Amino acid sequence: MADTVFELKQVRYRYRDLVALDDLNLRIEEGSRTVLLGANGSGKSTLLRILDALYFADAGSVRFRGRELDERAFESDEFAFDFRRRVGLVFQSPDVQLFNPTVFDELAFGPLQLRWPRDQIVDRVESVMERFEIAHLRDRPPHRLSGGEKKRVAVASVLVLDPEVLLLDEPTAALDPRSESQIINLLASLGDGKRTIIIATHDLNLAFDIADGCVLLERGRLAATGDPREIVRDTELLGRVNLIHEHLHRHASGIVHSHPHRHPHEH
Amino acid sequence: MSRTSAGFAERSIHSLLDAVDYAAQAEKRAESAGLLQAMDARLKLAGVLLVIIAVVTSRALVPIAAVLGGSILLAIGSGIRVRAIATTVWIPALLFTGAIALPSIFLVQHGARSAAFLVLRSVTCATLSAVLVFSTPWPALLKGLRALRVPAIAVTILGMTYRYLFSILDVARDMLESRRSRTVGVLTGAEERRMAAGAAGVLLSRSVLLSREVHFAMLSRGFRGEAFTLENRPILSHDWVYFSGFSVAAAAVLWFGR
Repeated sequence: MADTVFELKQVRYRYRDLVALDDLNLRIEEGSRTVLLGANGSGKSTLLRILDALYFADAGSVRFRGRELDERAFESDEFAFDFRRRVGLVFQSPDVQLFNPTVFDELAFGPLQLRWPRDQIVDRVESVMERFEIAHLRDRPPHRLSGGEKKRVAVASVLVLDPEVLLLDEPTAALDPRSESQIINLLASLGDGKRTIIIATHDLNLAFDIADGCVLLERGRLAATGDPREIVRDTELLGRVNLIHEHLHRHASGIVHSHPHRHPHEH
Repeated sequence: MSRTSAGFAERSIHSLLDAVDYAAQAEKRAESAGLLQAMDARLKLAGVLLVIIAVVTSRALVPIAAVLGGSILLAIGSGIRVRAIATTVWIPALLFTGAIALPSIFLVQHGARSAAFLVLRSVTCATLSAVLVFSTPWPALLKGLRALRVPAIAVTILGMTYRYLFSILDVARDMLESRRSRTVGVLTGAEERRMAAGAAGVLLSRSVLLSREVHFAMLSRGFRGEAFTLENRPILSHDWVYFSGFSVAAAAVLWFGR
């Protein structure tokens, strides 16, 4: 039986008057690939930040491998460095994630913060750049990268630490189809049974293609959990949480009707 | 619509595009093949600093003029157009220091000589600094500062400032283009000032939000308040040859200018 990586019990988080997460109970197993589905404002990004210990729950309990994740735990450098090496978050906007002057500096940032030896950092960065086919971008500043290149560098800058848990916030957002498929292929190649992957998205295709577990959020609460293929087929449920819409359309046969559906079409 | 008759939004968009274009050209020039581009940034910075110190302490005009001539030759050898140096360095330096030096010609004994020293020193030092900046990518120059014991946190802040300058420029340009697309007719001066103030406020607000998000991204990858940098380019033998050249030049200026 797989170990539990994250365990959340009755977690609540609010931004001033807005409750972002409410009474959330969740368990993430080691090696799983879980997709957090939900419409905009459903609490996906907030949940990822709680899992990455950037936010701390107002109520309830968040545990990583049995250890409570609270502010007191992060007062210890030893625990903080260990957690940051083991859990990595790829932010939705690469412009937030890429804050160093060059691509090389970006990949070296994490290992530098964790006090790795210089030679180890250089070797590791060179190796990751080769794997992600971004070695030719090493001295390029982030503002001169394309959208797809930025996303690859952003993912590489987290994977350079070889985290056992990878959190991704809308990894395919604002990407052209080719870049999107490159990222999806990359994510599929990362699932080796040992690395735990959690992806926040409203892209139903991503859930279908990559995930083996699905958590559906609605206004900060758990709406459903289970097999992503079953959840993605439940049009009534998806319509209720605003992930799909109902519109009027005409078929080639001349029939005009409306029904809830997700794109691409299935008739 | 001509630029002179354009409103605030159009003029601002033009300025922002010019700034981005200028920065892109400067980056390409610094990365191109050339005499000084081949030199390690740390040794280049140290060498230029040595020569500048020698120029400032020289008591003779001829050595300073020789350094100015040498700087121009280095610029030509590095593919830097002399016209670019003239417009960005010489004209402002001459105007500024000339305005300060001019009264001394009439009011102080040997005023002309003092004015010549002031103007020549400032123009020479400014030219050397410009040649250094034009021939060195900004990230490499910042790392070079670490070799001079500038604190890592200062270098990190400067690096992030440069990096996000372009993000802010993009946001500002998008805001102004959006405003222009929804503006009909000509705005009065007061309306333009209100629009400018509003845009500045929104930009500041978005910058603050962005900085908060960037801080989270840094925390997520282990940042605990200390900044570190890593120089990944080794110093090669030809870098020491270049540095020797700068050292000899500085020694010569000190000797002949004593």
